[in-house]
Amino acid sequence: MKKKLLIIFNILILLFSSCYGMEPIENISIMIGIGYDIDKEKSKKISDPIEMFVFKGDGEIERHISSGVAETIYNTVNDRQTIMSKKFVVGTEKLYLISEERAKYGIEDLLEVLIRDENRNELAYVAITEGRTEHFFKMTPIDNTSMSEAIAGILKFCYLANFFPREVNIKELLFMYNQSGRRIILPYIIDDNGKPKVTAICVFEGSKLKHKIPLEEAFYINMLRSRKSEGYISVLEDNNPKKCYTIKAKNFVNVSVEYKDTLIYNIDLTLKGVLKADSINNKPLTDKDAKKIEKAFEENISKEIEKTIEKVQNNYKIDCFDITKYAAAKFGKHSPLLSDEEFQKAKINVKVKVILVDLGRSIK
Amino acid sequence: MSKVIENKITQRQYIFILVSAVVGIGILSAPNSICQIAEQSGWISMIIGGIYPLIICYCSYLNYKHFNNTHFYQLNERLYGKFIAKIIFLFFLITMIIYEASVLAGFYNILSKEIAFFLSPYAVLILVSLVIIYTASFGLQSIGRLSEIVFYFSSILFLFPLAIIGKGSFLNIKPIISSVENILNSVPSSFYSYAGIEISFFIMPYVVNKKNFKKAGFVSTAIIVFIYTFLTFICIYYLGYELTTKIYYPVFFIMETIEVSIISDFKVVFIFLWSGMILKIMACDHYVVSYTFSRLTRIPYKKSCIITWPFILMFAIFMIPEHGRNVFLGKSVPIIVFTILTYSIITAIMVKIKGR
Amino acid sequence: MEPLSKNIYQNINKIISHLPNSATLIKREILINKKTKCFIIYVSNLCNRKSIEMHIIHPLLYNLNEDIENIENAAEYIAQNYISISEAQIIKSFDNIAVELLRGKCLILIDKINTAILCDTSDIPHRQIQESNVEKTIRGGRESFVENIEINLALIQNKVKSNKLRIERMLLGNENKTDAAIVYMDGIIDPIVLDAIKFKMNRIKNLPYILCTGYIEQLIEDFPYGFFPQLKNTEKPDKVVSDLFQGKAAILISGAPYALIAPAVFIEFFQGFEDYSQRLLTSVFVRLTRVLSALLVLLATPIYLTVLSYSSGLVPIKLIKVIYNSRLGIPLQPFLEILTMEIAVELLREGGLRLPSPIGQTLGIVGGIVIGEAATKAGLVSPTTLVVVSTTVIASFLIPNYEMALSIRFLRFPMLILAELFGFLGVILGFYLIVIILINMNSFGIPYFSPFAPLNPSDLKDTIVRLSLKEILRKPKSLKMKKGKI
Repeated sequence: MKKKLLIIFNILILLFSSCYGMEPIENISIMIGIGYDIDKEKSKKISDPIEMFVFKGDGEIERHISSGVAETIYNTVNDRQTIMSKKFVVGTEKLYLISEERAKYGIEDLLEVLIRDENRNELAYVAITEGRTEHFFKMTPIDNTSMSEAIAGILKFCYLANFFPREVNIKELLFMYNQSGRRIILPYIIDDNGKPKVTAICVFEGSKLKHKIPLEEAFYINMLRSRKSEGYISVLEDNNPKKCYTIKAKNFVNVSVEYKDTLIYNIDLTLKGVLKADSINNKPLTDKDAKKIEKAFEENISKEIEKTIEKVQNNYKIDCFDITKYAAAKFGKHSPLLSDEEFQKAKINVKVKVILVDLGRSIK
Repeated sequence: MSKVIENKITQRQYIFILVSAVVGIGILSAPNSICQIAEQSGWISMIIGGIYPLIICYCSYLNYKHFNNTHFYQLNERLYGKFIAKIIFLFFLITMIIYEASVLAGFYNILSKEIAFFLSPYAVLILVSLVIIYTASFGLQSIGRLSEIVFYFSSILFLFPLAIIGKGSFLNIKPIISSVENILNSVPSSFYSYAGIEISFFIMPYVVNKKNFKKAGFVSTAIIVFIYTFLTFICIYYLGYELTTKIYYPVFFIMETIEVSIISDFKVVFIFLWSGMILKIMACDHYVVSYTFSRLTRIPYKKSCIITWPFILMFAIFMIPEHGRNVFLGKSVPIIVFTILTYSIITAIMVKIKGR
Repeated sequence: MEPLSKNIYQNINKIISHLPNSATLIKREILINKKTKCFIIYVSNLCNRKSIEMHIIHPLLYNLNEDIENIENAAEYIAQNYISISEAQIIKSFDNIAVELLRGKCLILIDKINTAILCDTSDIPHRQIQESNVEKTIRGGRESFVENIEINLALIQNKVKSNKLRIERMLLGNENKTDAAIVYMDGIIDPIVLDAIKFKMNRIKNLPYILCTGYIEQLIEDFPYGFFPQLKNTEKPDKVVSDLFQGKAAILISGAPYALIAPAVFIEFFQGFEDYSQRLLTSVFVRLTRVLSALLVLLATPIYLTVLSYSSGLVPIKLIKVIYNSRLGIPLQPFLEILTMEIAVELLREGGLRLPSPIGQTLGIVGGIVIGEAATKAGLVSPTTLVVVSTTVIASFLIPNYEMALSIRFLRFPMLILAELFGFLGVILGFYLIVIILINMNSFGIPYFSPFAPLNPSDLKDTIVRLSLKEILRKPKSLKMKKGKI
């Protein structure tokens, strides 16, 4: 019995000698970034540039941008392989860039591909770019080997300021698209004198880009939609930059929903902050002073947030705060209350609370 | 003396054989199928569905209580007569062949996507099934030992989802009850996840120490139900039911999103540990296949291990395309599960009447 | 069993016919009481001549003045009254006389008496008890076994002051009879295990010759074609004693400075004797590193190969950059590259093993330079491959048992081939095959992979980790048939 099995096993080994057309690692193109562009006029509308590593030996790494033009996303591989000297494999990418034009045109195909193709990297970062994505890949990276790594780095650490959410990756993109009561919100990158820069957030309606909200407003939107992100807030006196309070704050958000004729969202926004600058008071800070500073921040932020909410409800008319999901959790995933009309009518009460956990080392 | 020939298992091994006969491919796909109807309350249906393994375990306990260690074939003969006993065994044989082949095909489907995309399906099927036959040929005792050790070994796998516990959202779970009707409607589809527990009937006579036999059945049911419910819950909690229903293997998706420093994602470690489970479940199934086959044809156990091999391969090749497999299983498994359920309830009643 | 005859020449001829025809066989003829013929037979280089002269020949020639022909049981009478040798034995048949003479005993044959006296005058040259070269210890006794079974038994007996100690002697081999002994603790060892060992030892009694414990090991183990050693070999008496108290038996054989310990389970081969004398936490750490190193030896190169050949997506991009860069311009396929390195390392290891230590060191240095520097400089082998392969080599030295280390090192090659053929699937299946083989093995009725499978929770206290000595100084249950059998 055992002998028979051994014989079978040996025959099998002889049968499957390892010629599968698999290539060793040095013959595979290591791709690090993919872009999605569109040319609406041409017959081959899709143009997907990719950035990949070119290894020169002795630790020297260069990069190469190769773009494929075709009718669909995967047809671009057809185009690209005709000029590539290595095997094309998906899975090592670190960054997805989508051009603004493409996003406005709709990215249903990309969202479908990301779910269906199991080789895609779900942890890759994703952003919308101002012009063509190829342009961004062709920039010169400063302290990285590739542009993809540079932009991925920007997106990775953007949560440290402006209250951007912690995860800006493909996984989160799929969650935002698929979960009820949510919509896609992605950072927007422009070319700032040859360097990439995050200047806005893009809000999608379904799979199409709807609004581009500049960072000044997005600051307060981010404050409500993200959790445990960080940002710096200042209160100025007489618009004089030398006279201000500044805190580095971390946001904690608690939302409850009820329905009385209209939806009522009660948002408790707690900002736990460290005082970084205080050039207004010129004496040692007492408990009372601290309370006063907290109060000043609370008033200031409440005002700004109210302004933002009004603008969102009246101008943008869609939920940018990512709060409809709370309604979905309360009233069911298929409730009619999740519509945009209900959001426009909804009453959003924000209660801001600022807590200074640390006043810094200065005693003055 | 040199070899321990007797084919006996301990009660602990009994528990783990039951667990390993059920937990396999299902842990990856069960959240998907159960959320189709029950939506975010799929995990509740999963708990309710635990009634199926519970019934089967209780029935095999009744068999033991009234007929002691009578082997399953003799028990059927005494209850139903020779002819019907043969038909019942034939039914079990076909059932188990379907189970084993479907697991084999499913295993290939996952491997082909992740680590064995360069191999031909035949190579993978033959290779894996050879390992299975080799394992099963040692008999029940070896399977008992394997189930025991691999269970401990691969239960690390259930710790991985804990890595994302802070990243999900309870909003995805709420409202906790989508609708009572939907939850109850999807209970039968959870039964299919629990298919395989029937092995309990076959191995019951070989358990050495039956002091807490009833409790052992309950414990294994509890473990199985916990595993399935936990994974379903985690999937809904992390992905939301919308995404869960869109992906064939949602658990796999979760593993891909766990980031560690040395390997690019947890997928590889997951496949490594999970393969152990698959080998276990197939070894259990193959044991029953060979056992029933050898009982029906009076061919010795070890030989029937090999003789049944081509059947398994044939079925598996037939089931390789994932959508085809799902269509076939979607039609056959409900019939099988409800036949077995009826059979066990009738048997339990018959046993009560005829037994001591 | 042929009895001795009364004719002295007939007896002598018969004895000599059983002995090798050599110049060292001495037949000293003397006359007792100036009339009775007496022969003293011995093998000169195995005996202490002084004691023969002093304690046998001298009293027989000068002290014995009686007429022994009329005395009943004359041999016994002489042994009792005149022979001043500590061990003297009266024999009546030819049985084993030749073997006894070759053990260094001295036979006194007296004319017209059909019994003989066998005196222990042996003085066989043997090595001094020295420190072991193979099993080095930092803490623990230094002495190790020698080739003489009597001294070895003495070393054990000296350490076990218990009335439970049993030593059973036996002779192995048809052509060349070799002394062997089974040592065990009565009441601690499981009787079924003991029976199995005795049964198997008796079965190999009739082979022509057995020279070393290695022969016995292969002849009595359950799975001669298995990958793993199923009996433990040790040079250290204190290890033997520790194992005796755990319910195992030791097999000693004359001419081999080793004791065989049976039965043995898998995890024992990863446990050092010193673990118990070291501090608790450090010894736990050391044990964990050993298991880790075994896994490393088995899996590191195959996984590295799959990463190179098939699944580059398994590693993060930063690591890919490093590997990719190092692989550029290497002419060999990954599999061949790794295989050549592995074989080169095995050559170096096997070559250095039997060389005298100064030359062995040179070999190590030259080999290290050739492989480490020259091969990478020449672009034959990539530096990352070198790192992976040499790490596994170093890891393999951590396994305390030499045979187990060899087995695991050997298993690396099938795993490598599986990895080349089937990629990561091959590695997975290979690993599980090893597990399946392990759980199906038995050593003298004890499951080889216990206490893991079948699981014995109380015995887990002394496996990969160990708890405090208070917890583990008892007899393991998995070495008992009743509970651990299944």
